[in-house]
Amino acid sequence: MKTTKLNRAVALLLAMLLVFGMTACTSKPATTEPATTEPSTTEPATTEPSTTEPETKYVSKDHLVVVGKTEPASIDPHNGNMVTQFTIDFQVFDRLFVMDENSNITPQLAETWEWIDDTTLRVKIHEGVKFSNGDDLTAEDVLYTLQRGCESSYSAATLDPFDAAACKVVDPYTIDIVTKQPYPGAIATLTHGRASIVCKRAIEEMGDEYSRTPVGSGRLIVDKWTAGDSIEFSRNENYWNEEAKPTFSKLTLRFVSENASRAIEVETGAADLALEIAATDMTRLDENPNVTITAVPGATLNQLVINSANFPYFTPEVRRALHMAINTEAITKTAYVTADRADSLLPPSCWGYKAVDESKTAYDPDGAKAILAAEGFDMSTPLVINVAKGNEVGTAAEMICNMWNAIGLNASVEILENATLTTNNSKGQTPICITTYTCACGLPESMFLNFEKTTTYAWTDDMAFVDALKAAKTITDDAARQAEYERLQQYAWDLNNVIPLCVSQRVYATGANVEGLQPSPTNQPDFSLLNVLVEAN
Amino acid sequence: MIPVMLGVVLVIFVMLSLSPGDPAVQMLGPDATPEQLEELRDDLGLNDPFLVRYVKYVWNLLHGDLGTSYTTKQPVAKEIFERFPTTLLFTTLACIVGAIVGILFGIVSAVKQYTWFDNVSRVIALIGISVPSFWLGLMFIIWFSVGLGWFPSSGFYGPKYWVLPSLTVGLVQASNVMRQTRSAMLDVVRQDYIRTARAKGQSEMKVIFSHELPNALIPIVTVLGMQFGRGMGGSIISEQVFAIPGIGMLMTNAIGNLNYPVVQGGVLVIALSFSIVNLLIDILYAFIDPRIKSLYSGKKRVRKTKNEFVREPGKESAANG
Amino acid sequence: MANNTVKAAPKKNSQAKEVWRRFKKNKLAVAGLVIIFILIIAAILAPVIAPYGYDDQDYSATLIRFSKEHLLGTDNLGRDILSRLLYGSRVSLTIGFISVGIGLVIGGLVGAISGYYGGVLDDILMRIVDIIMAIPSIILAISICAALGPGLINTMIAVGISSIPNYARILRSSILSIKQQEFVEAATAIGASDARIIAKHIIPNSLSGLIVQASMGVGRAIISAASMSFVGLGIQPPNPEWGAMLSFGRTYFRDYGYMVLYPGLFIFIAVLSMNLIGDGLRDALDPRLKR
Repeated sequence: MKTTKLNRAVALLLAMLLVFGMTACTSKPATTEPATTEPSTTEPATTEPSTTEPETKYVSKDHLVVVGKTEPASIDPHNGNMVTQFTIDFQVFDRLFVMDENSNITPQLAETWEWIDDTTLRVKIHEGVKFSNGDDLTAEDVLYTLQRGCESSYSAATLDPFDAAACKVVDPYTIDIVTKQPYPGAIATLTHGRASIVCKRAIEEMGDEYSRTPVGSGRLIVDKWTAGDSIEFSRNENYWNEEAKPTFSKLTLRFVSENASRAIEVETGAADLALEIAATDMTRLDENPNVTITAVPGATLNQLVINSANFPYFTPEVRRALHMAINTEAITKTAYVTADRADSLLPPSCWGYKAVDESKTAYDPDGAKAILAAEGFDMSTPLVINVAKGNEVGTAAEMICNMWNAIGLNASVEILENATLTTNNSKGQTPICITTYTCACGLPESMFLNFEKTTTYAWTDDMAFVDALKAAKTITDDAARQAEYERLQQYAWDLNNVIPLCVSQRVYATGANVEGLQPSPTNQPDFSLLNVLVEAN
Repeated sequence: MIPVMLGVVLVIFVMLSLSPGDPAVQMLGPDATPEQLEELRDDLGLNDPFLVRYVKYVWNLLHGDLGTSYTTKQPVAKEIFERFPTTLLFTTLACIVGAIVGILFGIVSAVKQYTWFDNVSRVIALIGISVPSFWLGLMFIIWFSVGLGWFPSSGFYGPKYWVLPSLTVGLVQASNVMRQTRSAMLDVVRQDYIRTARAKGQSEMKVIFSHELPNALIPIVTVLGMQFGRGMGGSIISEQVFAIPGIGMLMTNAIGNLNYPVVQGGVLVIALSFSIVNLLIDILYAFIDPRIKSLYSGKKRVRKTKNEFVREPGKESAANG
Repeated sequence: MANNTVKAAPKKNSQAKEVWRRFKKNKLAVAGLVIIFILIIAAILAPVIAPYGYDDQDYSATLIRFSKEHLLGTDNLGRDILSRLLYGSRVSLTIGFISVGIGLVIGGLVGAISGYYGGVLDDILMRIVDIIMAIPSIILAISICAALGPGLINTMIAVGISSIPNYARILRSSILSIKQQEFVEAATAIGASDARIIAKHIIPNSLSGLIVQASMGVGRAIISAASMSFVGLGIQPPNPEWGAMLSFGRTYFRDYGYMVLYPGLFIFIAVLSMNLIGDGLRDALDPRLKR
């Protein structure tokens, strides 16, 4: 009696659950539409501008909400090693020069500048620039920034071309910036987040606190940092450049690590801008009339790295065969989706980029098999593809694993904690891994930096190539440097230590009422340019 | 409790010292030179022998110092206690949902044993203990956040944000509580003194709430305490689903960054609060145990011993044959 | 499950029969048993019955919701979800049973020694158990997994270790009560060795609590492993563990909800079945129960 009733109840409930679940996923368009057309239900502050009433007046929204993916540990430009910190540094600090989304360099704090000799750049900075603590920004602070930046282990590699000891203050608003050797990328390097001008007095007084509540001269000031959740900014009312002042007075940057949740925040109108939109959410957001999607080619290369220096069984021919067995076209489309297949070791936005001749490594699994057989490669050698956590990179690893196994190799995937992979990589202990590498300041040398670290990363054992890389960045003649980098791109491609997969696009989602997004290829949009129009009451 | 906490620290210490990866590399970034790395390792005391590190940690711990976070350079105690209220609130809300729904359904189910209500709620409870809570959370987001737009899908800023996470975890807990309540109530129902109460002609309500429930409370409170501990632990998962900036999220990130001091501190604080709740429950027994109460009010003593009260649901005694 | 009881306690053949008779009456429990058997058979026969291999990628057939070729659709790599789920039952059930086995053996040993010998040994062992119990099991499992690194075996160890206290305590308390009974005293009196008394008298008589706990523990272990996959620890791709599939599908859950729904349902059904069996066993093993 009891059991039969229970049975029926179970059956009924299971059936209900199934139906509920099915409808949840099959009738999806029908269920999402009402939600997306009424985003104001959850956040009344972002009422959509209505097109039916031409009389409506719009004003700029005063409090913006941006959702980003990862919370940085520090926003001190010379501390911390998370890329997301520069997104914030760019709002809070000024630099001597800035680079826009098209890689054009424009002055920010610099008023005039000239090369007084091969290695000395004399920069005159704007007068009357004030830090948020009221101090004047002077040449002393610029000098301190360079000295500190060159000392810190986090920023030393980026600012390595500069000779901090030789830099000197000429007058309170003029500084001579000296490079160790003639370096054509000097000004571009000064646009890096690491070169954000910090306040000398504040750092000396605050110590480690500076990394949480920095004192900068930028357009936004950090008000409050709620760990694990958000950072609140307010407009710098004393910003030296009236024209660059934001239209809003408050901005909250929230951190939402779940991709889908970031998309939901924009869809429901709870956020005005979402960074790092995943390909999986892009189509749906694009169809939503209340959301604008902006995708730009990024400066980040996804690449497979084969360490032949410490794992000598990866001979040049074996590496070529491994490259030939990978269908990068399929990986780009299936794993990364919003990406462009890579055809060089440099992303197209990088200076000196040129598509290489791929004839030696064209996709050809049978050819790869033949080469491996000819080389006498032991097909049972375990090929462990190391990757950090992440959907796209994980998928790519699974695809490569599948492609290699298809020609009889013994490949597998190992997903590691980010920190573990970083450690292993920098010690040269990772035979094969997939990494991302982002071009800094549009400089080609930044993409080749790890090749030069032969004692740690051990990407290659081809020392002639490494020497050529070191020499290339100091060639002052643009045409000669361009020619050399074109040669090096082809050489590196045929070296097959780094197998470029694709260049990810940067995808931003904004409310349809958001203007002024500068879609940075490095995920560092200038928040101060955002302007959100809402109906005036 | 203090020896247990020291043991917890030891266990976590042993485990983290086995972890692969080097926190120094994670902290200084891939560009650091070997000398810089070595210097930092010295600064952090990573080169010290295991025992030295443990003793140092415990020594600092006794002075209220949980160490410094590797990534943010902030005191770990500060980081944890910034987030602890969120996790505590979340866990408490979930427990309240679990307690109210679970006890209510458990009582009704027991009183109306073998009716359709009992059957349906037993099946729902069985489903509740069988469903992975993070899956339930995702389904709730699909239905109530994306589909119906009733509640926000992430964050923890106010009552509106609390609903989905508390319901997700609370309903799973309610299933456990319901099963325990039901069986505890059924256990009590068969006791002689309940028959006596009924025979005396007391109203059904009075029998349930004055005689049955107080006698069934101990196993119910025990299971509630366990649910609280599981909720605290489960926060490491559920906070991911709903992007709640609590201790669980802090720890997940810390594990990924090899941020040992934060992982140690987080585990310690969770274990400590779990132990405190258990202690409170032990104290609570004294207040709700009818036998202990009867010592003071002079009511008739119940036959059972305390040990017999607390055990697996359904393992009723032979009292009723 | 029920058959194991028969083997474990040969002397009590008639009692085992009685338990089985009572178990059979509980239709839900039998349904659970049947489902678990089906899943086990599916796991064993996966290469035969699955329409595709678990890592057969087809980039021209990605993210199909339903088709004649792919009854439960395909994932973003064009792999057949049904096949992956079938192969996945191998991984998930293995984790479930083995990790319970680890917990049961170690926990049972600790509990048996602790309960039988008592004294200082008991104190020490129980303090250790207290320490492990003070850490919520999922946090313990995640920490262990973070320390050992990901992978199938490490996941099983992590889940297994975190369940030790459960079994240790149950066995210890039931031994404490059995120890007082006459037949144990009689065995001691005739000079039977400790190991013999534990193996022949104590364990068979305290099995019932353990069996119930273990059958429900399998369900919990499956959920624990899935939870670990959810935070990115645990099983490595392309291994189709249900939790890993679910976790992966979560990126797609807005548009392709089925990628989350099906693995979730499989986890749910497997765990539900184990819980039904556990409930049924508990009722069947306790003859004095309400009826």
